[in-house]
Amino acid sequence: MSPSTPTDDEDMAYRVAALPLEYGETRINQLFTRGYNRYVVDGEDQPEDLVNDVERFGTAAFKEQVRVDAAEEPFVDEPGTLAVLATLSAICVKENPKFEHASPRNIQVLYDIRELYVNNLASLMHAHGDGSLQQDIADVLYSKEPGEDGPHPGRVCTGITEMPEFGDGLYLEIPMAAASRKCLVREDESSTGNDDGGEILTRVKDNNLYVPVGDFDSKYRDYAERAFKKLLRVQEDGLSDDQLSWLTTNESAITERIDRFLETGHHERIWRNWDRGERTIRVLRRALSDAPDDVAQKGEFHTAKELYRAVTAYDAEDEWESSVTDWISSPSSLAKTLADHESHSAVTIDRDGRVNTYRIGRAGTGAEQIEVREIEDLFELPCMANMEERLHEKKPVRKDLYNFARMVMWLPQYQDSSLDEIVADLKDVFSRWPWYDEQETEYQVRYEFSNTIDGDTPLPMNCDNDDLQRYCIGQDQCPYSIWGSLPFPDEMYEQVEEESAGPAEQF
Amino acid sequence: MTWRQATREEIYAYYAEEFPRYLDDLPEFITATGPKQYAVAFRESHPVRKDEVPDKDFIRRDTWQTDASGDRTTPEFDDLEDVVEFIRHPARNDPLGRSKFALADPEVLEQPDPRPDAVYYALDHWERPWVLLVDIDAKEIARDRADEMVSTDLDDRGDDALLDAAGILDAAPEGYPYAFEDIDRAIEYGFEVRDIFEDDFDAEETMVVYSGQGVHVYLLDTDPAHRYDEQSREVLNDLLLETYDIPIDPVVTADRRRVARLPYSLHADVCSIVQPIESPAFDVRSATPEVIDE
Repeated sequence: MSPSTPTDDEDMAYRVAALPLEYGETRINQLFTRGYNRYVVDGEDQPEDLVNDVERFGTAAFKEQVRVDAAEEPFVDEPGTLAVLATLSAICVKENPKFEHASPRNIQVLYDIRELYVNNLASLMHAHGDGSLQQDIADVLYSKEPGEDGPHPGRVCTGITEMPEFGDGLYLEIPMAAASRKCLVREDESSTGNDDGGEILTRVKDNNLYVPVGDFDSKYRDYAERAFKKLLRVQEDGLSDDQLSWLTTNESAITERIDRFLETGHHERIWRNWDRGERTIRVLRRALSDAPDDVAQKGEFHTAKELYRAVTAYDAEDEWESSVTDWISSPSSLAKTLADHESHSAVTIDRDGRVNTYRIGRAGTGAEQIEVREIEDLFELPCMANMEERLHEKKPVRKDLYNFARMVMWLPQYQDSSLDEIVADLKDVFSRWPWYDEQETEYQVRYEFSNTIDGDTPLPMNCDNDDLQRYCIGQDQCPYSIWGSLPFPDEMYEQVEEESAGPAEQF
Repeated sequence: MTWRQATREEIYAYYAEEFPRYLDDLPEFITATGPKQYAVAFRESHPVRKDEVPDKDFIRRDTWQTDASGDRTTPEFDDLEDVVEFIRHPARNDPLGRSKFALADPEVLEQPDPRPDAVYYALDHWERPWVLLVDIDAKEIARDRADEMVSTDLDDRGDDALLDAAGILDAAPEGYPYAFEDIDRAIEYGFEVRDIFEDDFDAEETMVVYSGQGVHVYLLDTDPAHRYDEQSREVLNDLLLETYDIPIDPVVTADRRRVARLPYSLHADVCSIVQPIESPAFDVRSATPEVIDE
């Protein structure tokens, strides 16, 4: 009997997909063959299906919720397919001309694809088999370096079992003779506030260690990150130039999404470690917005110490934010960064006093805020309400259309959406007006979206725009202002500051 | 009870008269050729034959000569009597013989024949796996106790100031960096560790040895499941220290090159016989040899 291969044996496919660092290129290529076989129907290749799935996988990886959900419910239901889709998506990203000179280590999108792969694989494995795969993996994850006595002769993990006496959940059973410090799981430092190692959660019984299975999951995640790199390398080595150019020519969705993020200023979604000064200032803004008024405020002058206090109190939301807050280690390091980025339009340093003070961003506008859940909410602005009323009677002029489109494209909930989704939602709004023609509106909206200014998304109109004057109820009458009342992201205001020579308080 | 250094004469008398009586009581893995080394510490350094080599106050001697690949060839000691002779007169019976690195012959020196302040054997072993020993020292327990008793601003002033402030230096035995209660506590911990070995680590063969200023706890099972290598011993150390909260010296357990005080040897700094003990109620006063003049 010939030995089973990942191409034709599911268990073997799981083993190679889960532990690629333990296998050679031949086995990994057999795993890919299994994945590609899914796109062969009656002996015929189905390249379009493959590209569609690669695009679906690659674009889904941008969405944090999809990545998170994949850890519970597989996004792709088969290890070979998963390996193929994840590696081909990553290759599409690496081949994007925008990344021509970039190191893969700086491309956030690749990390997102890897995360989707790792989470997906973890949930697939949970659902697969009787736990023997997990035991094989545990043997790899918890094996110790060979010592003077040679390798441990038996299995490292002798079982995965419930141990009610130690609490709920599963435990990995590891004989003391096979134990190493890898098996000592500690309570999370962040939950104990203790930085010299939390309490040991690993338990002992009958000369075995019992390691909480949660540790297996996090160790496996680390392993899988390295494993993905190997899969990617084997896939890259295996693709011919023709295959590669066929793939990149036919794929467009992933490229389009990356381009859009770049156009809309979502640097953090594309780049890891993008401009340090810019990142610091963004985090400072968010920290100041979060800080109680009596601690620090945006647009006020503060000492470095006060700003530092606001940063340390700030609960970072993203990985890039945490890296910034970790990196600001003291008031003096913060002061130094701000001095280094004094030319940034959002930073003003006052050196007249006894100690330097720093102002970040702009003063509040006092405008009433509008919560925008759907596009219709924009009609809460009196000018937009006037426009809505007028459009029932007259066809729009082009300024009206692009005013609308630009406002929408800057709304936070549309920043991650595909153009198709935005167009669909806008058509839904426009269909209320009598002159509505589906084809025409679609064309016009798409035209506005393709109309960038040197690659930057055009700013939404503000209240001082002449074309808006015909709908305006008078700025002194109005409790709102377009730029002050709508929940535009910081990126938009940064663009305002970059483009505007005037004082930041203009609105 | 005598809590002082033994004199040269007392040490010699102990190894000449009293120690040989205990040879039959030694744990069975302690033979002339089992432990990879025996070692002796001197109170004063003794010269070696080669001139440029510094005087030695601690010497290790292999129990076997070995070939280039490290395999045993010729034993250095025929039986334990030979080991006793080496302990009694280390310079005269140095297994290194006439090597330039052997101890200088006392007959050609004005300095007297060196006497062992302490006698050790290697935990690494030719005939069984590396012996597992946990060391619990009264000095550590006393220092922890002082840490808790005394305010932290004394931290920078060194151990002696801390122990003095806690009254430990003045407590019996006076002048030693621990009190008798710390030794008693070490013994209690020793039996706790033995229970842990037996209950949680499935050990059948254990031993608690009074070491003079603390205890050594042994896990002696040799089956594959108990062949703990250095990495397993590090885990054991961490568990004993953190999960079981026992103040052990973790370095000893996980260091294959360690030597341990030979059971029934004399701890000459405190005039106590190192010995296996059966219960936490062991009275350290009973460990003084007969040869010591109280």
